[in-house]
Amino acid sequence: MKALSKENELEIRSLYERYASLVHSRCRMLLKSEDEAWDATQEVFMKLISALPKINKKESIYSWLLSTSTNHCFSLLRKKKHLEFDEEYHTESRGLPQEKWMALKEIVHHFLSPWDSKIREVVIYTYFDGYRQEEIAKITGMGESTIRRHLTRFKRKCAESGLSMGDLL
Amino acid sequence: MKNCTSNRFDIERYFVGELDKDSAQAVEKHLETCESCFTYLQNLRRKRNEFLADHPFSSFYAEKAQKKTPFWQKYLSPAFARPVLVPVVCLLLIIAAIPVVNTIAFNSGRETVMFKGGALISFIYERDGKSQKGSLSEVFRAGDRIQIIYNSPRDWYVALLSIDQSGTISFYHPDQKSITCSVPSGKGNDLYFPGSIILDNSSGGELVVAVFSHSPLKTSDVKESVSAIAKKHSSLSDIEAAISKFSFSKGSQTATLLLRKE
Repeated sequence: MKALSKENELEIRSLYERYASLVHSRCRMLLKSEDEAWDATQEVFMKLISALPKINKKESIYSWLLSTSTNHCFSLLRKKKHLEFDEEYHTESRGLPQEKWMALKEIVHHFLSPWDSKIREVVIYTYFDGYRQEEIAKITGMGESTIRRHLTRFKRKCAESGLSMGDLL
Repeated sequence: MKNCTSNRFDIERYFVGELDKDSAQAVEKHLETCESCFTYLQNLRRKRNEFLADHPFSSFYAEKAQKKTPFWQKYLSPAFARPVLVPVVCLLLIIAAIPVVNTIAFNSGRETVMFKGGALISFIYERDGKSQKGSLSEVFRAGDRIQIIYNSPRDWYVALLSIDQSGTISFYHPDQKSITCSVPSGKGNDLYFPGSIILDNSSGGELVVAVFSHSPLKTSDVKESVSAIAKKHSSLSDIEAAISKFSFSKGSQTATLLLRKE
């Protein structure tokens, strides 16, 4: 990557100070690790710097960052052989007992990973972020009926596998 | 948030400053009555402050954005770039760089205001999604977002306000319920004031005032003083001259930017 000019540096700094904390929170939520979340935040911002000239001026940078950070974290989770259960973090901070965490891990790794990235995004925005369907429509640009269809497919698949997202999250 | 009918995504976009004026006003109106959304916004602000304290831009910039191959490795022949010669090359580069640095320092396009004590303010502005260096010769328009940047040689408090042609005074403070208008300035160069000024469609210019002080200033006191000055003068340039001489508290220092508007 080329060194940034002073003008670009100011622009990136402005974006960093506005958006980085939200990206970091998101990465920490998905990766469950402070160090990995910081690395991921930096990687996502490097992607933003590269993509900035191509991002439509009318497009929401925040939507772009939500989508990119979600996909980046999933890419990292797929590469990891396994997730560690950190008893202190997961029981005290998240209130998740180990058996639920293990089930969540199964969902993330073996259940969500093979799905189409658009469906995965809808699932993450719904169950991890708690966004409503109209909000997800704004973020992703999908129609609400498409979002409902993705969620219905996901819930059906969950039910067939004996998993209940409602019990877990 | 769960029981609130408001759009959480909109609050997050309000937080990062992505909403247009009408949508932002709708969110602000909602925040006045919805405690859960207000708390959610405050949490976002608190997390941002904590995050930036732990991971300032400089740490990201140093680790990632500024990584590059040293140019002496790139351009000088490997035979010349022996470790023993590196100090010599560095010294030659420093000597060669002095006139260049001086030229940049004195001819920079960024408008700055220096005041007694060494503090310095400048600004960048965002128009149509693009950030540009601020210049006082620029004519600004409604919707332009002004981001104030300052150098602070010591840990002061800084307050930011603006006065338009009609004498309306606006304060910029991250916490709208705060009774003070100052925030800790931090110490260093190129520090960003937390929050930015979005110009409205009022006619005439906009006088931006940054007040550095040893202790936080009460909003009501500053407003009273500025109102009294504004009443005595008809033009913004006269108000600017009067405010520049005014002492808001013992040892306070004031920097101003007079922006022209369409």
